[in-house]
Amino acid sequence: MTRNRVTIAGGIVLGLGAILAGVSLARGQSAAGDTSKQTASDTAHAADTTGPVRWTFPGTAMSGAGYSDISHARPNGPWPTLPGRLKGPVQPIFYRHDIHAGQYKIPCLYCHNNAANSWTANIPSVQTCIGCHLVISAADTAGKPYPDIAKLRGYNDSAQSIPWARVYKISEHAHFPHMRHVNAGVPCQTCHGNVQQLARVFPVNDVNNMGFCTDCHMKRGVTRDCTACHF
Amino acid sequence: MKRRKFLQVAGVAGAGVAAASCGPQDVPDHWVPYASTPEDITPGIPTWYASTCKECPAGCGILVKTREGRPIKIEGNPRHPVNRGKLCARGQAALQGLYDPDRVTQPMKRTGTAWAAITWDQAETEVATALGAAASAGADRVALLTGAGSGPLDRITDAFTTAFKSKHRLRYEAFAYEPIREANRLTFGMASLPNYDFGAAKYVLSFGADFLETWISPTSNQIGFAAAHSPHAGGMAKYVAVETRRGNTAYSADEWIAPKPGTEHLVALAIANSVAKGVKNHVGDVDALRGFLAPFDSHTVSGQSGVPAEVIDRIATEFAAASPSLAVGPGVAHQTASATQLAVAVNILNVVAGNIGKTVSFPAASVWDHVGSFKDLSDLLAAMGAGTVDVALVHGANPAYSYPGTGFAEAFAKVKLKVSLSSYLDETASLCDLILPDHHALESWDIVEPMTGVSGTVQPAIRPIHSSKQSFDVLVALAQKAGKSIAPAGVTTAREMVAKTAGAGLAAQLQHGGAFTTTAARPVRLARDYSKLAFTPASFTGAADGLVLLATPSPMLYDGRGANKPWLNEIPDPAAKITWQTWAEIHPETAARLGLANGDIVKVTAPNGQTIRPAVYVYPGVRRDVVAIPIGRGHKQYGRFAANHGSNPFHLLAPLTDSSGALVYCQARVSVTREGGNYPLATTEGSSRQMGRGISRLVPIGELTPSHSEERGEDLTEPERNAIGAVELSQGKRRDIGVYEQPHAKWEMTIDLSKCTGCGACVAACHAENNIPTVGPEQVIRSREMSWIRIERYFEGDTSGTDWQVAQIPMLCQQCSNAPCEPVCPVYAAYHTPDGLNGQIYNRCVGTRYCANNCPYKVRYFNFWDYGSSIAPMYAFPGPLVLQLNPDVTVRTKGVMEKCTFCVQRIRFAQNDARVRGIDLTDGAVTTACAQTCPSGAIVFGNAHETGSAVNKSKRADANRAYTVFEQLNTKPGITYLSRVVHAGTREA
Amino acid sequence: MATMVTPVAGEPTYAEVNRDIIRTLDPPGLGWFAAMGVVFVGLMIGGYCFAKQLKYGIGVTGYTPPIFWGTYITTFVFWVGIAHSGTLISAILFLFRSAWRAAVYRAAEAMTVFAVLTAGLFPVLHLGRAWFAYWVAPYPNVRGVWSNFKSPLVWDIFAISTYLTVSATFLAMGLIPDVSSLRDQAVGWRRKVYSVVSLGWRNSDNEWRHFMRMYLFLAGLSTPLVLSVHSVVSWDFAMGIVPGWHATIFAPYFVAGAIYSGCGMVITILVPLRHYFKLQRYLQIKHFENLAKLCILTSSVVGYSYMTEFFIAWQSGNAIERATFYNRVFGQYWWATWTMLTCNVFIPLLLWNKRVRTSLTWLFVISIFVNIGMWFERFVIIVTSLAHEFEPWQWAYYLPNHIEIGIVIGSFSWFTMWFMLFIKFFPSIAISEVKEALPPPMRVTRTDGGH
Repeated sequence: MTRNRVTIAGGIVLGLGAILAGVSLARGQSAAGDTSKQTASDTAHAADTTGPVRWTFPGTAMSGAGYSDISHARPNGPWPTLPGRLKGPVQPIFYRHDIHAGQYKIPCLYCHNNAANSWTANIPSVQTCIGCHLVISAADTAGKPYPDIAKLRGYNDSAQSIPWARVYKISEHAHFPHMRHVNAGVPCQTCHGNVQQLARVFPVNDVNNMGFCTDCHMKRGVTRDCTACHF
Repeated sequence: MKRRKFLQVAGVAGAGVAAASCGPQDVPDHWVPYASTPEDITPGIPTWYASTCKECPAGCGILVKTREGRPIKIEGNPRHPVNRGKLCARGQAALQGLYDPDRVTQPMKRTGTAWAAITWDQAETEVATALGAAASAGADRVALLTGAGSGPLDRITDAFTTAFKSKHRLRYEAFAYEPIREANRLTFGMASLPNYDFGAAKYVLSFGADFLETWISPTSNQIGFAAAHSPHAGGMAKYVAVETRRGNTAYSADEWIAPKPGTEHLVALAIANSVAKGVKNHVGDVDALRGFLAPFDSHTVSGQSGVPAEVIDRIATEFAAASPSLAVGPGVAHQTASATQLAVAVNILNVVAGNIGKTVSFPAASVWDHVGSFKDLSDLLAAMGAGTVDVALVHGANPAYSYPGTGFAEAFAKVKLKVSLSSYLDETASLCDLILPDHHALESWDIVEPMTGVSGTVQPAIRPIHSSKQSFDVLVALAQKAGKSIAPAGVTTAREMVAKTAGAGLAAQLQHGGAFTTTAARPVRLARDYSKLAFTPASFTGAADGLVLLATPSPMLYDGRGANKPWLNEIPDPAAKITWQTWAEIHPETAARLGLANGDIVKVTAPNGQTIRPAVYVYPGVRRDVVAIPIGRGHKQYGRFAANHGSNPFHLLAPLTDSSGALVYCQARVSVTREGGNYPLATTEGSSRQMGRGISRLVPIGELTPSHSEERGEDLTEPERNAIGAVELSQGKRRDIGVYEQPHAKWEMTIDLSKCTGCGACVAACHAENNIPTVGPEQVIRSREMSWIRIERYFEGDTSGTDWQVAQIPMLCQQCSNAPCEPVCPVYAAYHTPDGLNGQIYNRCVGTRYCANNCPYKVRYFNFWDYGSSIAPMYAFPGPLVLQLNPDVTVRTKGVMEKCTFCVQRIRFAQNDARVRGIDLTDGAVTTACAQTCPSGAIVFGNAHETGSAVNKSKRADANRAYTVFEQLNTKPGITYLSRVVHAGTREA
Repeated sequence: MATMVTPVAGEPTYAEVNRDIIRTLDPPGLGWFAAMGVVFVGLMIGGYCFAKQLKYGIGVTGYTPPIFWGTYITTFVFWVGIAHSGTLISAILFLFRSAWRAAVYRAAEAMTVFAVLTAGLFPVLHLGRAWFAYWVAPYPNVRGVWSNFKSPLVWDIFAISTYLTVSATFLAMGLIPDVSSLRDQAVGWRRKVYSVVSLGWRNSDNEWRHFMRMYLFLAGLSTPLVLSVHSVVSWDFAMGIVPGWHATIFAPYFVAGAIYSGCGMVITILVPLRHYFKLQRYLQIKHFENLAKLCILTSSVVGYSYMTEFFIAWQSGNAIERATFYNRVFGQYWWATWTMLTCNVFIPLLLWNKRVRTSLTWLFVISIFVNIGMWFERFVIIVTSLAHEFEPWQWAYYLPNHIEIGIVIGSFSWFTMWFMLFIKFFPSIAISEVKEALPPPMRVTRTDGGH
């Protein structure tokens, strides 16, 4: 029975330790927690997850899983070849940023126009898409429009919204003014990565990691006041 | 234990704790963008719609702030002549009426006690056929009972009853001011309500009129009153309240006179008499009155009313001397059997003092002209009781709640088909056979004309939440189905009607909230019909030793229609400071005589045998022979927030009417007996005395010299001054720590206690802007209310008599430069922002509560429960209420401290906006929610680093009465208060 | 105060000492398990209440703003206070070379460690978001936010953790020789455990020389802690501007109170210990009498502090300060204040009587009163001050509710559990130091292997 007593006592001690450790792991608050998360998520992108200083300018080729190579993509040329492995949530329509933003160099703000004048960057309405795709159908030889464009037109005909899967989500307790950053000339890629190379968008950066924000704010010498974002 | 094993434990434990820690985040895992982009909506940027408030008949203009298509806040419309950008608590709480979780979501049919859903078509067909049958059965078998209405759409509803050969068209309001309208008919020949210009009055003499709470047009009254009754170049108006209970309105009074109940009209006549005596040169009207007034000399009246003759004469002299002055009354609570006589006396006072046309003027038409009297309702009920009414439609009125006794239900039951057009299942609706739910005002179209020259448009700020239909459309459809046509050609909906009426001006009217023109007042001539009335003390039913019952209108719940809105239940009554409950105000001496203490449950028995059981609130603001019980609670139905809270004083009344056909509210002497048992009052009041701590300061106008601030000098004792000096010396440069230089702003505020009336509009605004949860009575009893701004109410002077003052003060975070809360926070959740705010970072707070302990002003509020989590037991935003939440403000989770930050989200929003536009943030471009809505304009907010800013101006202008609370603590608050100036009653003479 | 007393009556031999004391480690009887059962129930109650509080929020407690600190902080300070006399007896009296401590110091020292363990729970228990407690500690993180070293709560973290480390080390150190002699008799896994704990002690002169050096050093190290730790704890209050907290007297006032409550608790523990383990020969009346004398001293210091507080409040002329203290004595919380005064100042006066302070029954009863009184002292300081602060509109009245009481019960069980386990696994009286006071054994009397 003495044995039992020892194990009970030991159990209590370990239990306490376990809870504390568990908390810090679960909340991912400690520096260790964050790095482990990122490396765990995808080692190939350690480069652009280590912080905003390393963001790459539009057009600069990124390689690795999820990135398609657009270096040779020309308007009206062949579409960029899909990367070996697609990452990120599957979308109702296979909208390819690497074609729109990469190959055809459509500016981000053409569709996400509210990013320039509002706190939130909008997801374009079906109307916006159909503006072009009323005529552009990327039809095959039989004249049948490319299946995803057909889907899009379907949504348009039934005046339905497209339930896009959400990729980036900032916690409710942080308020991110897109317009301030866009007007300050911060490229979208700083946070969202080289979207123009993504056939399917995946969270390149952990935008909920506050270090990701403060790091950049420190480097640029802009405000670090807490109530700039938290209220 | 092996390491892997340990990690497993860690994982599990961690998961468990994490789950316990974070509430459910109601986050969609999908973006659902618009199918086609709406022009007027930019996600993340608010859109404003100009409309008109329909919470009471005053018809204030409002601007509805919407985000992504849902209204989240209501502010006053600056262009609107009635409320000039300000709004009362009830108006702002309209949002919670819109999002009420217990709204009727679709047409319902009652079988027995069960309600079943039916389609609009079925419902309308059923009613239409019944209407047709009733019309063919004979005349006057259809009744349409609505609340006060005005404007073209409302006029068309008159055609509805005529179409069905009925004259039973009644606009019913519980507070309908029949005595005043009748008195105006008798004295001026027009049964209408005038405009009272409190702003122009140099002397206000009120006979029980709660003109800052519910009386006619409280917001507009308050704007004028605050301007006139605060020190300004032209001196400062004096306000004398003659009433048996000192309510929130009379808190602003410089002098309180409490005559015997039922003798107010005699006092008024006596004053008029001695004023008339004073008028030497012959004025036609005055001379005509001398004879009539002669019998009411101050000494006789003094005997009847208990008001000393010299007081009467003094008031008279002051009243006559200060021209233009203004006499008003009676208020609803003080409608005795001689209410009309009192109203007449008030008119005479205004005549002899020559105020007619100056402070009292009659518009060509008023919303009140069409409102029926209580007698009309009784007649209609008689008809119903006689079984001569087949179909009754009720809309915008709840007579089943506000009709005295139980008479209504019995008579109403005799009607074959009872249809309710209400959005809520209130007492009346639950008696009906069918409910055809109306749109909420924020979902509907209308044109409201509170008075000639003011035509306010009502436009939807949100798509209908439920399958409701605007009553106008319903009536038109019913008539159509019954083969009648009531609307102009081509009009089937309210929207078309509004468009048709406005014509080319529609766009402009929708943008400005209406069309406003200035019209000439109607000329007034003195009639003599009032002399037929008998001017004797009013009589009361009940035993002579009973206490006179005052059923007082609630400034928050009005006539009970506010009871379904959590904000209005939780914002304390401005006088009693009690929430969620019904209480009986009893004078301390009477309470001692009856052996009663706060919270004792008493049995109040009316002469008609009816009883209610409120809790006692011992209150020096009532006469010894009076018990006051607030109207508004004690609902049986009307949703989860209203039902089964408190008790309803209407039960104690008998349907007696005075000569104007008004309900006699002040009619009975009731017996108050101890019932045994006691429940703690859900009050926010800790101590009603401020122990001379100089928190809310009064200064007699005589002492208010330019150098007053030096002369009063009681701020710091000698040791305190030395101590602070020593500290500052030792701090050296760090003395100014927390005060950043330009270009940083330093946000500061001044609050003028001379203007503040304690109405509570700021509190409502704060709730709306900052997602403040309502916690319910049990938590308020534990003083866990969350309101970031509270209005403290202290009694000053000896409250055994009537010669005492009320010191009120809005207390919110003082944004100290030298804040005690900041250094003690172990995690920097409380810290100082560069622009001089005491920041509070909710997501960083771990909840040590040290900051709250160390805050001398006690303005930090702790989330004891998970008010923001829909699965938590104390969830504060059930159902659609969650749609009201302001997306710019974090909803706090359990265990964190929260507090006022001068609406930092509004500041940041304005700063970002200005930066993006490349403009400078000008003074006034950003203001706090409380300052924005304050009808008195008592709160001024701005940047203290701008020399020209409004906040600096107001500090400089009134430097002689500027002070900060607890200056001896050297916290350097960012809020400067301006002492309240009083004409110190009799002491002044 | 330290009079030289020979700790053991009737001069038992080393062998007897070993036997008597090691006997306390015999397999426990029913009584022990019954007690442990009660302790277990207490722990369950505490655990349940805490779980409930975690799930629903602090709202399940009786907190009534503006009283934002209540029973939890009260009990926290109470346990920290308990801890102190342990160190005083084991370290300071050691430096004062008062030999009588030898018999009692082990139990006191153990009490210290476990009391700190218990106290350490409360700062976490009372948090609104206990799962973020670790944010208070400064640790590197990507957000670049640090804890606020201006806040006394952060000082607490360091004070408490330091105290725990040092006193735990001190206890473990002192145990080494005794555990070694246990090791020599134990078998099976116990032998393994003991040999680990005794760090291979071989009783060589060299080891003894180092041991005594180390012991002296640790004693010197913990002595200042007795003063510093409770001073820091007192600053949790003294640093606030709350009338009734904001006083310079707080540090010495709290330290005295701590030692006082500690002595009380030592007596409360030793009396039954002596009784059940038949240690009359080692824990003698004299020892208790000395403890009692210490109580008299500290109780009068505490009483003096009370009077100073009231006097200063009156003499300051500060209306708000005066109001607070008037309310403390004659206001809504008069009962708490008078309980405090009675238990801490009046009842201990009995100890001036030698018959009382040499009667264990009397001592035990009085020590219980002292414990109660000292708990109430903290309650009075914390709650009555917060209840009657600057802003009259926010005055309120607070009483702990069942959840808080449940957690306090849990904390007592937690403490008792550790102590009960300790007395069954380690000698609660220092064998070696008791032996020190005995004359070295003559060969003839030598019976067993103990040299």
